[in-house]
Amino acid sequence: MKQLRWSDIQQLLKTLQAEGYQVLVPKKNAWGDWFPEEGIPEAWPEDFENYLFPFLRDLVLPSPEPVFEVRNHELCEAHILEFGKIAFFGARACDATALAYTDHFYLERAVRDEHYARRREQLVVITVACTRPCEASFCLTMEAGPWARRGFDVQLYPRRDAPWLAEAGSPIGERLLAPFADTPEQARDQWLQEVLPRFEKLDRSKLRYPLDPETRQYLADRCFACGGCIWLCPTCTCYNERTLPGTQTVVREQDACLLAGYHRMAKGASLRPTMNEMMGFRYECKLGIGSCVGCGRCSVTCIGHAAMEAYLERVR
Amino acid sequence: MKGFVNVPRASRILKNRDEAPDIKTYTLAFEAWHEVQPGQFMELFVEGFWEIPISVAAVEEGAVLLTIARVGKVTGALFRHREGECVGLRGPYGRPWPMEELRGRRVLLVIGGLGLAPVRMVIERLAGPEITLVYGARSPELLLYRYRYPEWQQRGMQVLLTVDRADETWQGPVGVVTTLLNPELVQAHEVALVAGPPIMMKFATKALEEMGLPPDRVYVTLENHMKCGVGLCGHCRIGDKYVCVDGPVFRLDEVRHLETWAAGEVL
Ligand SMILES: Cc1cc2nc3c(=O)[nH]c(=O)nc-3n(C[C@H](O)[C@H](O)[C@H](O)COP(=O)(O)OP(=O)(O)OC[C@H]3O[C@@H](n4cnc5c(N)ncnc54)[C@H](O)[C@@H]3O)c2cc1C
Ligand code: SF4
Ligand code: FES
Repeated sequence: MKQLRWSDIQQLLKTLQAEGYQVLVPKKNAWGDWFPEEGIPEAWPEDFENYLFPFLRDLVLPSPEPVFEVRNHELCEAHILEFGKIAFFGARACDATALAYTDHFYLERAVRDEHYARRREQLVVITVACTRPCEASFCLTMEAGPWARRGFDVQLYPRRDAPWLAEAGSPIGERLLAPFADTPEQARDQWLQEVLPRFEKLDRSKLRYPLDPETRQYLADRCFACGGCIWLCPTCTCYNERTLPGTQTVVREQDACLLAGYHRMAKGASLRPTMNEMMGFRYECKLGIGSCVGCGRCSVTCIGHAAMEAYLERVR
Repeated sequence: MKGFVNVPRASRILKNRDEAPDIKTYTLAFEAWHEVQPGQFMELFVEGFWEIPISVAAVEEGAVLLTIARVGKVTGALFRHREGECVGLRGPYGRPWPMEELRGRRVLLVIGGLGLAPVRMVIERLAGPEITLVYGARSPELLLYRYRYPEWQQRGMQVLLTVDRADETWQGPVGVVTTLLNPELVQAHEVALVAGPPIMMKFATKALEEMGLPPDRVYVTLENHMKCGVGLCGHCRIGDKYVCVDGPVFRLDEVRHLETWAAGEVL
């Protein structure tokens, strides 16, 4: 474990800048929305909870994204979309955990997705552990917060009147932290002791798939099939493919399993024709496979009462 | 597998053959034709559209043969292509039929309609006295590959056919494919492969179980919405399985397990 004063953190970010990284940090706009912007902050923005959009996901999986093109009847790889070297400072634990999930999904299964890999290699993730829960989140229950267990290069633990704690999660992280002062590991236990009581921890065994039939129907009845939860979920990465109209470029773009078209096959046949079945399909992924990191975005955006919060209410 | 998994290669249409109304078999140039195992599929791209999964019905030197029904946008666009024009291909993908387990065994093939395409390579390799094909289609003209039956029969394979609706040329039985099944026939075999439209597979697998074949001796090939074919796009997922990489061939007991927790119908 290391400890860093704010000036040390600024120094670390400057080192990254000198190495050619674009350092992105949370910035609030005039209307109170947070976006990642380039720069080195004067101080940590205390009122920052998390971004509404899962920007880390969108950095590794932009949508739509060109995959291939038809040129003179030949099929050519599209130029891979790249953003250059990015140091994402102030990522939250849930999103880093989600990144670890998509890393495994896109890089370590049947095939390795080169588009994902190319962008991921250029990304450095610096998480700042949370000291209070944000709206609708249940990250502690999902073991994805308030501190990250995986998915980060450097993780910082903010402390009020003391230097922040820091740990490395990768060789890059080790290198970045090398110049700074050591501190005993117990410092983190103390931090956890102080912070964790503020977070709710539900009995994980209650959050299980398959959902009981009444809960599934309850959620299905309240879903408007707007797809909002899916656009915002850091682990929702299902995609569809099409030629962009008026071009010869084939793109992949995000698709949403709560929309009927996701499941539709030839002649309108569908394996999951009802909302109930589509809802089951979503929860199968989020809880059955376990992709949910408890960030709470789906609940924040849901215009019905069909997202995780509604589900948790019923199992609490 | 490494590299740009999402990019198909241009492939020339070497031949197209009418099989039945609105069904054609395309012979498409494909360098890695010898890598294809029975039951695998390709992703086929048609200019202006996107990719669709199609089973490999047969291979020949330098080419794969795909039998395709015209049902909608991409297949409709493909049918407007002529010999000499190009499409895109990538693959082969998916878990094949368990050929090692089938060799030397008495195998029953219970097939409906277009389902003959994904088992044709099995037949071409194994046709002999141990194999029985039970095959049904909606009408006699929709029975695929009739020009192949004489050779298959000559090699000793039994071919039992039925149609839902007869015409004046039809002398054989009329009825859905399960009407050809009986316990004696089923129990004379050690393994069964089932392929066809979902509703047909549902009844056929049920009949096989009832007539005495345990689920660990029955294999099916699942139809599912697919896009990427490599386990990334998510569309083909059932429970925690991705049909494009964990299937499309599944053993019936695996399917039964998925049915206990997956949303929607599996079979
Ligand atoms: C493993 C596998 C093997 C197949 N083998 C064959 C074959 O040998 N011959 C054959 O004719 N058909 C086969 N199909 C079905 C074939 O993929 C569909 O008929 C085709 O996608 C329809 O495309 P369309 O654009 O013409 O239809 P439309 O009705 O216009 O559009 C439906 C769209 O849904 C999407 N889709 C994805 N998966 C499927 C699916 N399984 N069925 C239907 N639509 C799907 C496609 O993007 C398709 O364009 C197979 C499907 C799978 C999953
Ligand atoms: S399902 Fe909801 S709470 Fe879980 S990761 Fe996705 S958006 Fe966050
Ligand atoms: S078809 Fe894309 S995951 Fe299986």
